[in-house]
Amino acid sequence: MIQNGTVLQVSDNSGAKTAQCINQSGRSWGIGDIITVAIKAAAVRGKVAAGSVQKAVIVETRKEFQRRDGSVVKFHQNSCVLVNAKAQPLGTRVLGFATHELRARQLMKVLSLATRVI
Amino acid sequence: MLPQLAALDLDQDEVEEDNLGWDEGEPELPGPDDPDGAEEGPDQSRELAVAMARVASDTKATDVLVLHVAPLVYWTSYLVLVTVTSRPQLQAILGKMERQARDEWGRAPSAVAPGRSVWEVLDYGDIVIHLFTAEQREYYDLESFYGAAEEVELPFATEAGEASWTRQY
Repeated sequence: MIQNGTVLQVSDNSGAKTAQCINQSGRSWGIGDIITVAIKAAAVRGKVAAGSVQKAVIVETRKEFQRRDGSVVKFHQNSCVLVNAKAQPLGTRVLGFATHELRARQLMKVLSLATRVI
Repeated sequence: MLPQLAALDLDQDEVEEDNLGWDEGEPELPGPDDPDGAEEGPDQSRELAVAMARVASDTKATDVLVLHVAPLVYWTSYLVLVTVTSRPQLQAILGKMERQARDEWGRAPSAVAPGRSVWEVLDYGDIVIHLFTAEQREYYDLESFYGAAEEVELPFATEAGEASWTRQY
């Protein structure tokens, strides 16, 4: 459950470290949703700069979600992967976890770059 | 004694083994040694991947590569990487692949149609096809990411592009 103001870890190699959700308030988002984030911390020579506004795909949430087979998945942190307006990743690798729910959201590009898929 | 029980004929203790049908042939269950069941699935996926690669090669795509990634990932079995020179060519190859997969193989890709970017993905479940320009292919470098995958030998000649990874190695 990511909502306006949530700080997420950026789990790709775009250079950004943390990002804050700045979407409209009143609802929450989960894995596979594309949100608008403000980069709070970034590497000096990364692809994005701190303070910039980017789009991001949520890949990990602390709030658990249930799959149709009854299994429950939750992560230790809230994470996102930066993408452009066409949902194409800005980085070249997804360093954290990715779930196959991204496949149903037509985010195979993010899934193809993920090292750990569950 | 209850009248209902009295109506039942409870004296038939002699069981006629012939009527039980326990020995009338054991059901044939598919086992791990069943050659037909084991070879049908992977061969069809491989054949479809090679067919998609042929479509791309016939449409003047370069650096067509088919990788067997089933030992590495669980969410797919084959990756097809295709380099295109322009977006119209990319859209043409996409359309031909979808038509051939639908008409000859009865397979449909993911529900949402791909957009118009320089990197498009066709998802057939056990086969994932990546079509991108040479710059995008070099930027994301999927060949090194799946470097441990076995390269499927294609039965046709493919056109090598300027940044052919086979030349690099």
